[in-house]
Amino acid sequence: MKNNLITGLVLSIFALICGLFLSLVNSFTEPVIKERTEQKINDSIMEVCEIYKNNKDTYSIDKESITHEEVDSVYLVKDENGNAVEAIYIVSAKGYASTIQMMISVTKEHKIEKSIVISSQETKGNIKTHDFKMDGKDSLDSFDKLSGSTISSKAVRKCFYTALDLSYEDLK
Amino acid sequence: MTKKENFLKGFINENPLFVLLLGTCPALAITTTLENALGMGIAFIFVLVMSNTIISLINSFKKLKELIQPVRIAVYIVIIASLVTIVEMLMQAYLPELYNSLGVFISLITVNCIVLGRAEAYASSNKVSDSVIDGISMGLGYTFALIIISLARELLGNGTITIWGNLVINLKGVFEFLHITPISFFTSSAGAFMVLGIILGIMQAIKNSKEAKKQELEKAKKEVK
Repeated sequence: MKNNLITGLVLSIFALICGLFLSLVNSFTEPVIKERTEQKINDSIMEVCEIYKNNKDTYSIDKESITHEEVDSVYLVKDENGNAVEAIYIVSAKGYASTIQMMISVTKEHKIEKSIVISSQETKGNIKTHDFKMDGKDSLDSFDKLSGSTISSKAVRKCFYTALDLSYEDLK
Repeated sequence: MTKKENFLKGFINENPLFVLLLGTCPALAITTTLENALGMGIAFIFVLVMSNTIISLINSFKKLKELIQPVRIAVYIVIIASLVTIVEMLMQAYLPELYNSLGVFISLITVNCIVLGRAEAYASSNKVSDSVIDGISMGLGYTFALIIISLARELLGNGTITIWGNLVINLKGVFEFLHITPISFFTSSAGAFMVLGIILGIMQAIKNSKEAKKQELEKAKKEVK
């Protein structure tokens, strides 16, 4: 009994020391990771949202609370009066070899303004550079899939569908 | 075993991947580019050297060694997991592209049989200096094996060699000159198995030929006597 307690105590001490080291490393890596993530999102927003990029003084961006599980983040671009003029969605869908994460901007007329693939580890086809021909479209009729990457294309299609669908709720 | 022999053993004679066949899962999964192989190799060397050092240091104190004896594997895992998490955090902060590329396989270094195997089989019963050399040797040996596989896979599958970031050697022109196209099969998991199988076959053939020569030499010596 006593020996068991001692070995348990030894294991706890080792875990505690390791935990201290991890918190030390985390204290200087976490701000860097957070800053990088925010920078990446800001850069992506600038890329997909022309009106905010050109009129930063007139428009503002608010992060909204998420109401759907398919969506990672929702940003609403608002004018001076606080009216939402555009919605930016970060949506994810399971692809062939990884989860594809996209940023899609939707206008008040429920048309896709622009989209970019934020992260993807798909092995077939270059999904990040392919033009799915969805810019300026309000339906998936003209969706141009990436040949040879059916599953990845289906995931991208799902992302567009989710963004368009949700825009009817967020941009009334 | 001399220090030189201890250092050199990991490259060929006791190569963890090609001879001991340990750590094959990440080796097959991440060797799609040379950059991934190098990144994984650096992370692996750090974890292996540090875990060997710490575990050897703990075992060098007789009283402490007796205390952890019943829970030594749990202690080793706690140490290895902490080191892997440190590598993961540093990589996510300072090498995000590589971090995204290697994905879950960084975390899986924790359960890599090579790390725990060296801790239990070598570091726990040898001097700190020898354990450090063993860690470097095995780490470099594993990295060397990853580099060989990734070079073959990336070159045959994509026609490129990604050294680091944007530093890419494009050899597609050579393929065009030879009127052949890169075979994308080699970038898939099945291609990884095939490349590893071919390398193991070549190594076995060399080993067999060396042994045959050795036997012939011994036979000749006996006949002379």
